[in-house]
Amino acid sequence: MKIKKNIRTAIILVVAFCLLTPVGVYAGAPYKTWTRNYEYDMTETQSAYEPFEEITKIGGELSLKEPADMRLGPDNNLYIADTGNRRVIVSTLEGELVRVISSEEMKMPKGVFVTQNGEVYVADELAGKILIYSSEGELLRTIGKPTHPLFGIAAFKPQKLVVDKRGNLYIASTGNTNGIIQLSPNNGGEFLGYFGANKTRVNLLTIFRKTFFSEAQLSRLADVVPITISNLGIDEKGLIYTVSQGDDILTLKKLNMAGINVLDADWYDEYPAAVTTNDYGNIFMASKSGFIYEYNSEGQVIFIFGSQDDGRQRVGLFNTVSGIVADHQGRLYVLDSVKNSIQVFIPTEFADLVHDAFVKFEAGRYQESKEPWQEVIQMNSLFSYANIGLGEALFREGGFTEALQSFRLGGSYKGYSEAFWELRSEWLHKNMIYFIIGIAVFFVVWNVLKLLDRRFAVLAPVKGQLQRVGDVKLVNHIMFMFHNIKNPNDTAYGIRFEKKASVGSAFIVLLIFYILFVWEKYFSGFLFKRVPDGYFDLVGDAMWVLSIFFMVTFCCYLVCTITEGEAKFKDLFIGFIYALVPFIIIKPFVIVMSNVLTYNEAVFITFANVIAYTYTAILLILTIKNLNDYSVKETFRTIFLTAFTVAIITLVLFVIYILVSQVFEFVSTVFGEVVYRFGLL
Amino acid sequence: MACFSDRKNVFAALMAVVLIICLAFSGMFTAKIMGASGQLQPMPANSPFVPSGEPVEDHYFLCENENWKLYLKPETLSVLVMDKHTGEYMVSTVSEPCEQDLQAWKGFYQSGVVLEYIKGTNLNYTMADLVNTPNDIKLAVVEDGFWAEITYPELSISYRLVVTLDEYGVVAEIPQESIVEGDETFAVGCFYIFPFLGSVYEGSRDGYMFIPDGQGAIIELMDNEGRFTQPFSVPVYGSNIGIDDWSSSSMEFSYNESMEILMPVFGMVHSDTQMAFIGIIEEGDYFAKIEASPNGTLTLFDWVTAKFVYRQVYMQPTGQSSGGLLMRTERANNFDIKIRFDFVNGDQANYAGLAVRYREYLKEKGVFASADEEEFKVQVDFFGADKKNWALFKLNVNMTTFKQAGEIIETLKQDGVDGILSVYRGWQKGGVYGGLPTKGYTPAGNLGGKSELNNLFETAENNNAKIYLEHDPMVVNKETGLFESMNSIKRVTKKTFDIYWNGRVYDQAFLLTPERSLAISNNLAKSFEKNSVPGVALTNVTHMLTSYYYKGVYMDRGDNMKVYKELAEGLTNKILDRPYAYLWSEASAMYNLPIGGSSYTYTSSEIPFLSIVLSGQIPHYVEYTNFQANQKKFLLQLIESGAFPSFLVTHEDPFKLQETNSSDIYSSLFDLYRPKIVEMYNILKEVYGLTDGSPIIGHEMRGKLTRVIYENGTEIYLNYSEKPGSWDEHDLEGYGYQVVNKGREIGGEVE
Repeated sequence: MKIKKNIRTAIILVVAFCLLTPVGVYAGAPYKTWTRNYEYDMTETQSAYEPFEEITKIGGELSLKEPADMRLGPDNNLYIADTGNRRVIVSTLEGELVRVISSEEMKMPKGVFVTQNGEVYVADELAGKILIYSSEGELLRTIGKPTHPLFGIAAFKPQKLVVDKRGNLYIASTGNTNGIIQLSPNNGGEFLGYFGANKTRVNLLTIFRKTFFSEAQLSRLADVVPITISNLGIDEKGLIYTVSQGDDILTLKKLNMAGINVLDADWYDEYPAAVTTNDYGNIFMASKSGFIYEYNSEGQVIFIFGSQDDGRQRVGLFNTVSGIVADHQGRLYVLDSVKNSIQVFIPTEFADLVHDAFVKFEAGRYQESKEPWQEVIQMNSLFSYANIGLGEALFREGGFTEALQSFRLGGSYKGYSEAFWELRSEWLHKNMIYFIIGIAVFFVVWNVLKLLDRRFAVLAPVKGQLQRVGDVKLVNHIMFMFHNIKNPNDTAYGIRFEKKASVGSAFIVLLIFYILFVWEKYFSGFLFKRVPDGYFDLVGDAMWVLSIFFMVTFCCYLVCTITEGEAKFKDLFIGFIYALVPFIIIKPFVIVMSNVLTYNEAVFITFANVIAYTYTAILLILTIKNLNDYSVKETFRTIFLTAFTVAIITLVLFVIYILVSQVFEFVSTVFGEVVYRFGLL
Repeated sequence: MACFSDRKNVFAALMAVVLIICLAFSGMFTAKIMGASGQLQPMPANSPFVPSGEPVEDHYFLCENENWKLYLKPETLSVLVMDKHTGEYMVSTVSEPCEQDLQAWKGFYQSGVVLEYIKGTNLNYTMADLVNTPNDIKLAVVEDGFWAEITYPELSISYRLVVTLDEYGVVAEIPQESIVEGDETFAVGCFYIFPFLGSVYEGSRDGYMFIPDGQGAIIELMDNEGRFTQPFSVPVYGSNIGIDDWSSSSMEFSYNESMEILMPVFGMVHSDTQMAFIGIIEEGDYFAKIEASPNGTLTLFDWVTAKFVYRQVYMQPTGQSSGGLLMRTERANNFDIKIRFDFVNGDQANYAGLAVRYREYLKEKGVFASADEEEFKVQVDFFGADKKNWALFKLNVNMTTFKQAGEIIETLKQDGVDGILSVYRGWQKGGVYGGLPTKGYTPAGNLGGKSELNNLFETAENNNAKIYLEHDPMVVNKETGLFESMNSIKRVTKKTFDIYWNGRVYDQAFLLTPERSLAISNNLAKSFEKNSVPGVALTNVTHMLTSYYYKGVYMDRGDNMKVYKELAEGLTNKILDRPYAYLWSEASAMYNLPIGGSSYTYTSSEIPFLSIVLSGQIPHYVEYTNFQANQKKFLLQLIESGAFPSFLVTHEDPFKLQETNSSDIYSSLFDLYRPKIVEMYNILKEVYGLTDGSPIIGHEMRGKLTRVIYENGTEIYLNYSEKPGSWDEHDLEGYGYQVVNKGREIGGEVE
């Protein structure tokens, strides 16, 4: 559940709002509405849906009791599984009673579904049956536990179900981890097989357990069993949606005919309760704790809103959500099994605009979607989808500069790359000739200068100056690093015996490395940058670079001293830093390239990086080998031991940190008591 | 490692010894108690109450004036107020208790006054009423009411209740002087006075309760069948953040906080008998809570009241992350209780009538004396500058320079917008966040500096606009105001008051002591005057009151309030940001007022109570139009309430704020808002031209239709539904409105 990741920041945000005059939203709704920002994080936006009314009594008299499911029928009525009262209530969207469906056989109706011809399917968990009623409420037939040998002794406690257009039943059964039970309409519900099962997550721990644990031990572990599917939905095309509780990803799935998930959602909730789709394919998922997620058909989250009623008693909050329905007017109906009510939400003008634009955009009518997107931007300039949509429209109109800007605001790297490509080629077209002339002029001047220099030594003063600079010892020491490129063996010798490098020069090289490191980190082109805009932590980076260098050098030195290495600490330190020379040579080009290349040419950057890192790694290895006069085998042994030592020291530091913070906690507890007792301070 | 843990044990033992010594000493410290001082006026002698005449619901006649008769039930100090013209009445207690209610509640609702006390270290409030708790009442009748001295012998607590009948209704007082705590085991917690006045059994009559949530809201009287579990119980003037724990829920992030109570009022309306009262807290408002309990929550009755809190309970954390002790505040809060119940009848017995009554009350007190003339203007706020991070230092992000602001004002004037009030945010060096605290008149050089700002003042003046510089003397940015940290206040837990900002640039702030805020503000006021700054928009201190510690001294909200009032007095030409009622008298205009309410499940409708009170008295501007999701509904709400609109604009695109602390502003570009401002101005100018600064005297709702009546005879009809509707002979389009004034008629449909 990625939403969790953002909870802390969001809490801070709320606290901040308590005291500073809020500039942001405080429209009527008691909950905040979130959307995705250009950095794919949650950000607040205007209310998308506002609470409209709460239906507590159907037809003014029938109260619900622990209702567990709700669907929209083809007759535009709500079908509510009123579990606690052992009945199904059919209600209009306004809450007027249409009819009550119940019969002797109904014991615990947990799920309900209405087919196109009006037949009402009821999943009865206690009876272990599917009950099928006519649209008038007359019991037509029942389907019991499948007798097919393949079904075996698995549990059949139908909890939720959907029926496709051919009459196939898809049933989620309590405690059945094999997946959805698929039954044919023929032969009284013939078992067709399992469908769309969840898988257990594979991680190092589970692999470890599977390798070493016995069957009996494994069966006692909870997380080796996949989570069960808790609710289902079906869309116009007959695609099945499932929600499952208890995991942090893939709890919402859209299954194709083969039962394979085709949805990759931006955000997941750990406890989704129900899922539905609306007329234009948007997916609505309600979590048990009262968050409503609206995704587009691709699984990109458009809005998240709602929350749990923790005693605030404000309209639009939930206790335990058990069902959600989206009607043809864009309203949402959310069933609450503890409040025993249905809360109705209507889209705001803002959400209507967003939906309108989305429908056009997703149908590929980019030009048509431009206007609504612009209106959305008028209300929220930072709405990520609107900026992407506008970018697409502008791109097609040839307004690449504006498109580039919009893509950047929307966080569309692909769009940005394409627009940038167009702009760049436009620029090159215009300026290529000057570029070529410039290069030609440079070569001519260069050659003339060379010629003149040979004849009349015109460059002699400059050369002399350079020579003098080069003669300065420190400069000489620094320049020595370039020696490492071609002659790593000599370099080691030079460091150890010839004093061709000093600690001072090493620190300067390290500084150059650090500058390049932060330059790349913070000033790469938009397409290749990995940190958010406006984020800088130069001190942190410096600490990081320094501590890594000292740690590695120190550990390596420790290992060397006990494995008959000959290098001194100083030698190792200088050697390691001088081994960074490929990085120092190549990175400037990478940084410049990152500002002018698009994703089409990204391979150049990757290639340059591979060379930089590989060459650096090779030089590091050679440095260890040459400085210590090791054999290849000894070198690698030293490297592994160094890595191990680093790991151990890190662990020890971590343990010390924990202990110290425990002591600190203890001291501050005592201090807190003292403050309380004596009223100090 | 073993060695290490041994040392830890030794250390732990040492600390434990220290702790034990501390605990031993702690017994020497006793709770501070309240006691009567010499200044208390003695009780009138020889004027006992002699019940006579025919009782009404066990209440005997006490006194009367030309409007009302007051009856008293001496043993429970319950009163009955009768309308002399209609003979209808309201009683402050329930004569027949309901069997299902708990005994404690039965005692509660049969008593005129109820005390909640705290016993020793047990920090739950316990009720002491006049039925279940043994008590001794000394009663003295005066000309227009009675005095009563109530003593609880078992608790050794006594206090005096003074009740007076005047032309509007009943005034009840408990002077703090009169409260005596004889035994340190029993401490006064809270008081209720006539909590059940006008209460109704299970919604058995027509009417509603009024609560001051946001603009105002009503709770219809009806049988709720136990649907609601918690009553409305909200402190007046926001929660006391120095005491109350303000982040309890793990899902805190997902809520919009409910509205704060800006005005210390509440009310009960009996529509069937056309009798209603409004409770106005005259003294002790800053330590009162408004409580409205719909039937089924605490009792089977609907009742609304004020609760006065003398001692609060809070959590004293003892550890870094968890653990703590419940404590009560060191000393009792310092205030007298004075509350008036003003009655209205006839066609005034509705929420609009209550609002009118409250308005009249405020006018009599001279609250609106310093208010500007109510002339229609649109509020167009400018966002100046903020800071963003760069590799080595912070960069200024200029959103609207002083020159650009001048251009915007000129553009609007050319578009026909005549009358602008403008708050300039982030005008100072460092910008909105980086400029806190602002100790001097330091206009940002990057926005044009002093000279450009002076030009802006001039441009504004020439274009019928007025600039107010935003002024926050309370919040200090921890990074830019480090030197001020010695003036920061501490919470009642004696821990610093850290405020976290969700910002990429600055993430922490703290609050200054009111005294320091006052000093800074007074200083700045002088600079403002010297530089002829046209106006100041005072923010944050206008809606913040807290109890706090500073240098080991405990100060309560009352102390805080006095200083803030002085602070506001020290400024000239000021408008106030969502001010609490105690500051209204200082404002020439108010801005950032709420337009709606918190929509509690038990409220039936939201009403523009606040706007009715302020109408015709003081210009008041509501929250920004920028961030409203329903623009049509918002415009209708403006027309309905008579409030003025506000916009936040920037010359640059707000995406430039993404890397700053102000990244929550997602819509403000002037070029996009220009047509909207002009359109809204034109619509409202026309409407307010007819209402002409006259006060609202009536307000009615029929489903989605609303009618507002002004004193000058203007009537406004509004339709909040998308379907057409009609109010008598007035037909309205979907989202339509109609304004009728002496034959003139304007109206239309909100686009």
